[in-house]
Amino acid sequence: MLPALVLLLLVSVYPILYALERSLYYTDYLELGPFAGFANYTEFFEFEGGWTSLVNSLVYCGGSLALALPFGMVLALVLNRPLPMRTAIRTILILPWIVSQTIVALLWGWILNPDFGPVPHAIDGLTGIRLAIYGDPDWAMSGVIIANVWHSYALALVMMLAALQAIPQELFEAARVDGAGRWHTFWRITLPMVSPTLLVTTIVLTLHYFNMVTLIWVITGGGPISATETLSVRVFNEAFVQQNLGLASAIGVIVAGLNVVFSLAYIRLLRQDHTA
Amino acid sequence: MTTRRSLGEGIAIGGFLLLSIAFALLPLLWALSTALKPASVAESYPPAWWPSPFTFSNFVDVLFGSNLARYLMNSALTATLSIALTLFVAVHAGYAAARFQFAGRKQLLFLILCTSMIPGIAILVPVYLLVTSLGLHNTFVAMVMVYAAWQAPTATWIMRGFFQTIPRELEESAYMDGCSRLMAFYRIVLPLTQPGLAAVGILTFVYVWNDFLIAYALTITDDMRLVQSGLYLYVTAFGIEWSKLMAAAILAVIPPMLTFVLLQSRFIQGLTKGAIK
Repeated sequence: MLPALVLLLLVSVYPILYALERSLYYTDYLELGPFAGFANYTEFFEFEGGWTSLVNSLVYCGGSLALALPFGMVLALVLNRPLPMRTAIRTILILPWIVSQTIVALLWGWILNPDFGPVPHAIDGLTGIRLAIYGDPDWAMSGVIIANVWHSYALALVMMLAALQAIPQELFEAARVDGAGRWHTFWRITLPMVSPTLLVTTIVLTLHYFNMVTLIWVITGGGPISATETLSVRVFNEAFVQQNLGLASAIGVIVAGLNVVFSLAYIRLLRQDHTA
Repeated sequence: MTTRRSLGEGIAIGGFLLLSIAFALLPLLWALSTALKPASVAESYPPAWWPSPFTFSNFVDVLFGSNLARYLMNSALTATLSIALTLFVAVHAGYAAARFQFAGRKQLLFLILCTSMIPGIAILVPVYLLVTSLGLHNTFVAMVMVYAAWQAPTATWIMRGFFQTIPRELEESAYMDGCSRLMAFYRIVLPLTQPGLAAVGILTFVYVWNDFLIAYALTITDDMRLVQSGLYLYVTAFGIEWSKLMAAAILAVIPPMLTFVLLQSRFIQGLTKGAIK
């Protein structure tokens, strides 16, 4: 237990306190400047486009969730039935999740490449417009969301499939004996049985999307003109591109704070799940 | 199930599955096709799906004519050391949490679970500053420490679960036979948790192999790069030659994919448990 604690204190707990402290100072790269109070926070929202980043985060989370969660859920329902080659199909459908975010980013940058990519070619054939999706501030966000949905729907699929398989078969048999139709069975048995997992999956995905940097950053770097710069991407850009470590720490603390809100909800739901 | 399925419904489900499989696979096949084309064919318009003419030279070039092999070796080394450190920590902490009664045990476990919820990006800056001030920037030691620390909470919870399923009587009879507590742990209990060790190992391997942020932030020289940050910098340093880049990406994706296909059930166990970070 002791080595675990030392490691955790050193690499997880201490840094978050350190970030808190640093976020209260003006910084000049590694050097700590004068005490700033909450200036890093207030300036972030007043002058540094903080609200834009927050809105981008919400659009990115909401858009990804709205596509990945229903898609994963429906696939789980389909895969929960007897099917020829079910295991092989499941394996194929999970593959995108194994690809690293860096490679997902490079891969989608190439698929949507305006000069040589197959998707812009197809769009060109249909509409006569050659679209540079990641170079266009109006389209870039949709483009990163699609790449993210491709990468992450499998997580929803795996979690929901596990929940569906845990429903006792007797429940379905009893419903059939009672003459319940399939639609009725779905709404009255399947959905209530998996709803705790559905909630947990929603929150896990939300946190995952909210804290995501690599996929977005490797595709667009947060651009064009900040169109895809979420709060988390902003932390990375301020820290490792602009080398503005005080502001980066402050945004990092905001990100962590919003995570706490999500996590508390998560723990609450888990507790309810155990006591119910 | 015996529910009747009409023909129309079967076709609808089949069509949906086919579209889904195409969505999952086509991007990967497009990468493979690009990697098998000469550069002049890969970068031509309109794009062609079938690689013709067909060549393996991109794979040979990136393996022997670039630093990719070095990045792959670095990643393999870092992943191995991270797995070892994660397991060392998680096995002992998990056992203590499952077996020992001490004051504050519940609170401590809760604290450990909480740290696994601190998002990586929120503490990346302080970790970077800490590592730099310790003089450990651009070293494997720093990366292994951070990877292990970020994996240890989930790993501890997984191992604790496995230890709880092992009956106490097993250890008690070992003590009767004159085993010390530690000996009973290493000789008798630990070998029984092999599925747990495997799940933690696989989870940590894929995490380290696929990570970009820590490796990018904590290394500066090319000979220390891990595979993901190496791939990215390859793009920015030499301009993009797409057929070579896709060949490199495919080589980089093979180890985790093989792990997944061969060890699927353990993998999914880890996936559903370690999905938070």
